[in-house]
Amino acid sequence: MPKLQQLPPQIKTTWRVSALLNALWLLLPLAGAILANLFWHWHFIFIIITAILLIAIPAVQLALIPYRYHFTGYEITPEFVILQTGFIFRKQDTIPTARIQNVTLEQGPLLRWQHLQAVRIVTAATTHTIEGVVLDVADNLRETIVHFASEVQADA
Amino acid sequence: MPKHLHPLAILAKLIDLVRQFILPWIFVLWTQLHSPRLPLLLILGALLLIGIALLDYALFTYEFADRAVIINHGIIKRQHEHIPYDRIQTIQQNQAWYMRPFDLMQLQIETSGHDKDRPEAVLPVVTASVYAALLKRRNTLQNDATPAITPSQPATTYHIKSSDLNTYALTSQGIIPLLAVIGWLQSRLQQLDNFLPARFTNGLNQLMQRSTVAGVLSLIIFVLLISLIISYFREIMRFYHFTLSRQEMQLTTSRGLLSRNVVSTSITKIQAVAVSQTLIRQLFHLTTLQVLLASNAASDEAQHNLVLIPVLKQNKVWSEISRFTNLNAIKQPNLSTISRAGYWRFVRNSLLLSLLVVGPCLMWLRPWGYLSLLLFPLAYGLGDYAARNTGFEILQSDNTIFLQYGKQAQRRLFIVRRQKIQAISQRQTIWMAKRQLSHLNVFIRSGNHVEVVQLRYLTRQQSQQVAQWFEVVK
Repeated sequence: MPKLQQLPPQIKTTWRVSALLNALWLLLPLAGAILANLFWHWHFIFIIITAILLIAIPAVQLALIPYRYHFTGYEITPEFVILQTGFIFRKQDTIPTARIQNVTLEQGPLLRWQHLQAVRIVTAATTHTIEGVVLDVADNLRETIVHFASEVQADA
Repeated sequence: MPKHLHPLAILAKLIDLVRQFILPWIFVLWTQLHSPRLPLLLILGALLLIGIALLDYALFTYEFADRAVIINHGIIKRQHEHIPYDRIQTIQQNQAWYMRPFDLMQLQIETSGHDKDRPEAVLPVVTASVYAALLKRRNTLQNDATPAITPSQPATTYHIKSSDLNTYALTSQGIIPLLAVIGWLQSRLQQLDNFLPARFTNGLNQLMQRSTVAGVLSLIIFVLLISLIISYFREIMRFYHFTLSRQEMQLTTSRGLLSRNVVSTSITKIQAVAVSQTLIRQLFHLTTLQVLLASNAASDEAQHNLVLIPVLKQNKVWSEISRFTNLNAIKQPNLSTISRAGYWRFVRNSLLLSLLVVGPCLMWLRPWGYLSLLLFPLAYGLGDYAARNTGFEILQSDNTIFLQYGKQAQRRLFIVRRQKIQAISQRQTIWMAKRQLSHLNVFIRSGNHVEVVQLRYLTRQQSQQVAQWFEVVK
C-alpha cells in the first residue's frame, strides 16, 4: 500500500456532524411507524425497529470514523493521482494526470465552518473527490494537478 | 443565408408528435368514445398538431457558415447551435423508409461534447446534397490542418453474408426483452379489465377456466414462437446489408432494410474494442465485434457501442480487429484465472441471489413453489460461468490489456490501450481484504457515458499487477 497523505483532522468533525445530520432522515420512518401505529394499529414492533435504527446507524458511523480516517488518503505525483477511501468498503482509485479534464474546488457549509475544501477531479469519463483539505493545500493541489496535466498534454 | 428543411420535415414532425402523445390520444379516445363531441375533439387535436408542426418547420433554419454549422430552432425556447466544422467527430445519416423514395435523410452531427445525452445537432429532413455539402465543408477545413487524404489505397470492406446474418438473427437473445414486454402488456391488460365490458371479460374468464394445463402450455409455446419470429425479423431488418469499410483512417458502417443508418468515424476516435459472446453464440463459436467511441454516434445500439461486425467466426476475430482498428498484432489472449476463494464467492453470491426468489416461493407458493428449487442449479451455473470467464492479460510490448468478464450468460472481452483508460479503481470489503481479494474497475469513455469494466474477485496480487502496469511511466 503506498504511503498516502492523510486528510486534515478537522475532516473528522465534519464527518461527525454530517453523520448526525443524516440521522435526521431516519426520523421519517420512525414518525411513519408511530403514525401507522396510531391510525392503522400497526404492530408496536415497527416503532421499536425504527427507533433502534435511528440510534444504531449514526452510532456505527460515529464509531467507524477513526478507522475511516486512517484508511482515507491521497497521493499526487507528476503522473498520477491516487485516492483511497473507506474502511469496510475500501476503494483505491488511480487517475493518470494526463486524463484529468478539470479540477473543481467545492465547499459546503460544513466544510466552510471547518475551513476545508473538497477537491473534485474530473476525467472524460469519471469523477473523483478528495473529501476535504485545508484551503491553501486545496489551491496548491489544484495548481499542481492542472500544472502536471497541462505539462503532460503539451508533451503528448 | 439560412435555409429551411425539406418540406417533408412537416410530415416527419407530425409522425413524431403523434408518436410522442400516443398515450394521451388513446386515453381521450377511450373516455370520449360514445361522446357526441368526439369528431370535434379529433379535428381540434389534428389542427393543433398540424399547427405545431408548421410552426416548428417555419422556425427551424440552418446555415453552413464559413467556419461553423449554425442551427436555429425551438418554438418556446429558442436555441441557436453553433458547431465549428473542425469539432465534428461523427456524422450520422438516418434514412427512414418514407424518406428513401425522395433521397432524403436525417443528419446527426456529433462532437465530443460531454454535457448532453443527445447529438449536438440534428437536421431532421434534408436532401443528400446537403450531406455532401457538409462533408465538403468539413473536409476542406480539416485538410487545412492535416495533409490531404488521398484515396489511393482501396478501401478495406466487409459485407455481411446472408447466411451469417441468418445465424446472427437465429441466435439473438432479443427474445428475453420481448417476453418482458409481453408480460408488461399483460399486466396492463389486467388493469384494463375494469374498463372492458363485463360480457367480454366473463367470456375470457370462462375460456381460462375451461382451458387445461395443456392449453396454457400451448399458449405459452405459441407466444414464445411468435416472439422468436418477431425478434428474428427485427434483427434481420436491423443488420440487413450490413457493410463496414475502412478508407485510410475513416471507418464507415451502414445497415438497415427499411431505414438505412450510416455512421462514419475516425479510427483514432476508438476508445476500445469489445468482443461479446452470449452463451448461445458461444456454442456456435460466433462473436460480435464492437467498438467504444468517444462520441454518441452509437446511442441507439445496445450498450452504446457501435457494432463493427455483427457476427463473426471466433477464429477470425483477431485478424478482423487488425484489419479494421488501430490494434495490430492482436492474438488469442491467454487470460488469467480466478483463485479458489474468488470462485467460491462468485458461486455463493449467485446462490444467495436466487435464494431471494426461492425462499418466498417455498414459503408461500407450495406445492408449485418447489419448482423454484430448479433455480439453484441455474444460479450455480451462472456463478460458475462468471467465475470461469473473468480474467485479464497484459501485453507489455503493445501497451494493451485484455479484460474479460462474464455476466448473465454473456461474456465480454475488452481490448484497450493504456492511453485510453481514464482511471482504474480497486475495491475490496474488509472481509475481502482478509482473504487478499479485490475487485478491479477499469473506466473507459463510451459515448457520453463511462463503460465500467469490472473484474470481480481477483486476488489482490492480480489487481495490483494491473495497477502497477497502469502506473508505469512511459
